[in-house]
This record gives sequence, structure tokens and C-alpha cells, in this order.
Amino acid sequence: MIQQLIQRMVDAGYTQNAAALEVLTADPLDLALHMEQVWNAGGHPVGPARQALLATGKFAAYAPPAGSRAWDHLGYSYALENTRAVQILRRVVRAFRAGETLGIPLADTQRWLDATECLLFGAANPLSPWLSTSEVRRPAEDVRRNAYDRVFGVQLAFGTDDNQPSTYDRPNVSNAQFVHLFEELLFEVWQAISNVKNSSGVNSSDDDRIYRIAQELQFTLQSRRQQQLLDREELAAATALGWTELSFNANTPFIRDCGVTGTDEASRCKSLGLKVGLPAHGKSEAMFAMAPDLSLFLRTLESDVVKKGTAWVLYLDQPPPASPPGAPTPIGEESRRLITEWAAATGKDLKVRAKPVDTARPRLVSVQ
Amino acid sequence: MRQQPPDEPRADSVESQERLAGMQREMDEMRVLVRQLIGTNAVENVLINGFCKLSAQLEPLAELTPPRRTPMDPKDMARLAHVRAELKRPSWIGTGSLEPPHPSWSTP
Repeated sequence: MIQQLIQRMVDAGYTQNAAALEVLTADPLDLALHMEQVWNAGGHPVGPARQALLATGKFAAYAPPAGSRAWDHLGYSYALENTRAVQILRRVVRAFRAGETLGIPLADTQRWLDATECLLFGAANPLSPWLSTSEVRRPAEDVRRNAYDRVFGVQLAFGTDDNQPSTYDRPNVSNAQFVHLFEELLFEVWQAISNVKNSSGVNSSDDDRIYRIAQELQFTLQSRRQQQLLDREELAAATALGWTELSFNANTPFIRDCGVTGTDEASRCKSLGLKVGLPAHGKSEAMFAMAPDLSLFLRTLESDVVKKGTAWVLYLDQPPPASPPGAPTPIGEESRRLITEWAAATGKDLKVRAKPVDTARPRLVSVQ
Repeated sequence: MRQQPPDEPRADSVESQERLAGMQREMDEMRVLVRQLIGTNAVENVLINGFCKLSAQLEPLAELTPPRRTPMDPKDMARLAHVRAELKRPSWIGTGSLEPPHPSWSTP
């Protein structure tokens, strides 16, 4: 949500750095209002009072067109949250608010602190009731953990801030087979990528299998999204983690005030983690790098564009020759990067099959 | 006056005979090579003609196999374009410090 807002501001004439500074130093209420605009455009119409209020926000002119789900998939939030960046920011906020161990924050950093407390840690503001937390489900991190468990059947790689096991509400249903299917799909996509230009040798790519696994994954993901279930949690997570990512995208005012610098998101996050006594995940580079590609990949799967005969959408860089002019670019480039970074983050070599396909589990559903 | 014996061949005539013999040998070898080349060409010609004929006969079969990558349905193309547009984002690779704020922004 945050990255897409910056893109829309750039499209409207801002330079990228100026847009980022505008957002990073914005009033938290303006950001919350914009989040509601994005929610409104995403097929969740709000009432007239909220409509009138939304139009008063600073970023009202940059609302996405109606019918757009202009926020990242929950997979993006999961990849970024696994870096432990949110818990590191919690310690930074606590250090700045409780004393002067990190120095005196300048005005820009104080505004960043206001927004961070609002978007990530539930500080009261006029719109806080509209976030995904409430008296019966807090804190926000536990709400996200619950959503990751339900949609992907996975948990974060760490416990709470003080290294205790997380006590989030365990769901009674979860997509436990997601990771197995997902890695099987990435393996098949890699086989296809390797054989794109192979016209005469042995060709191990299998478009039909890619289609079947993609469809099974689509069913799996959509089974947790019936009636737009978890949409609100996904948007709240994308906003929180989008804010976190933006905070590390450059040597932002708050990064400079903390006395650290870096050349990329992961190095800044790791340096800051060391400074506040909470080490970032060792594979943070891969997680930061894969997050946007994972978002696009999963959203493409959910959008039901992978059909029989069009599995190439997942592995080609250009539409096939018979396509009409103006056909959209397939996501082959993003898939290739995702495979590399997923393998780096998990330590699993997805480019070779460790053992023959086990056809007994999980079974693919029959397709009419 | 001393005379050469009549039965002893002269040195230059011996040399020319050897050269002639060498040339004869080379000619024989070349003749063998040319014969071999003519034979090979004949085999190649037969093979090429055979493959061309076979290829022409099999050509109609290519139309029987469905195209492996069919173009997307226009609705799906629109949906994919929409997904890409929704998630479009700036690249931050190589970004160092952010520049000063936009002129319209002012500290309260």
C-alpha cells in the first residue's frame, strides 16, 4: 500500500525521493485516511461520513482507481516480517520514547515516530478502530501471525520481542499443504524456464503440471478468502510492513538519527538490530529481495489467469509470438528472482529435485 | 685428357628421373583422393535427397500437434495487466540518502 502510494505520487510528477519524504514525514491521520481510500477502492465501499472524511486527507488525490486491490499480497508481509524488522522498530521507538539512548530525534524523525506508533503499534488516532485490532485481538503482530498461519500454514521464524513463544490465537483451519505445493510449483517453473529455448534436446518442462499445481494453489489460497475474508488483515499487514520497508529503503531521516547507514535494506536493518540488541534474521537480504516478487506471483495465481495452455504466464519474459500486440508482460522475470531468493532464504535447492514426486500426498483435485 | 666412363649416368639426369617418379606418385595419390571424393558426394546426395523427401512427406503432420503456448484470452490479458498495474512500485536499488523534502512541504 505504501509503495504503491509512492508510485502513484511519482506518476503524478513527484521525484521518488521527494514522494518518499512526503510519506515518511506525513501526519499519521493522513496515512490512515489514505489506507481507508485504498480499502474503499478495493471493493469495500464505505459510508457517506467516511467518504466525506477521506476526501480531506493529504493523499486524497492519489487514490487508486475503483476496483483496484492496490496493496501487496499477504506473502509480501510474511517475507518482510520474517526479517524481524518490525520488532527491531519496536525497540527503536521504545528507545526514542523512553529516553535518549539513541540521541535526540530531529523533527523529521519525530514525525516518523508518530506514524510508526500509529501504523505498527496501535497508537490511538481518530481512525484506530478501523485497523485490524481490537480489545479481543491484540497486538497487531498476533493478528498477522494468525493470518500467516491460516493462509500459508506457517509461523514466523522467531517468537516475541523477548524471545518467548508467541501466544497468538491458533486457527482451527490452515493451509498446511501450501508450502509443499508452492515449492513443487517453483521447481516446475524452474524446469520450464531452463527449457524455454530448448527446441531439440530432452525437455523436462511440463506445462500441464504447472497449470494443475497453480490451480490447486489458487483453490488453496481462495479457500481462506471466501467472502473477502482476511482482506482487512491483509491490507493492515501490507500497510504496516510497507511502512517498515520504506523506513529501510534508503538512509531515511530516522536511520541517520539512529547513527547507522547501509547500502541496502538488509544491511540497514541488521545494523539497527545490532544497535538495539535484537539481531535481524540472517537471511534478511533474500527476504527483502523476494517480498515484491512473491506478492506479484501469488496475486497472479489468485487472479485465475493461469489456464490450460497459458502456464507460460509464470515463466516467459515476453508473450508468445502469436499474442496480439499490447499483450501484458508475463511474470517470468519475477518468477526467476523469486525462485533464487526463496532458495536462498529457505536453504532448499529448488533447481534440483531431491526425490521423485510423491503422488500420494497431497492429491491434486480433479479439474472439469 | 681424362674422359667420363660411358656407363655412368650423369648427375642431372638422375635428379630429373627422381623428380618425375615423385610427381607420378603424387598424381596417383591425387587420383585416389578424387575417386574417394566423388564416391562420398554420391552418398551425400542420396542422403540429402532422401531427407528432403522425408521432410516433405512429414510436413503435414506438424499441423496436427496443437501449439504448445496459446495466446491468453483477452479477459485474462486485461486481468494480468490490472494486477501488474495495481502492484507497480518504485525501485530502491542503489538509493542512498533521501534528498531534502519537496518544496510544498513545511514543518509545522
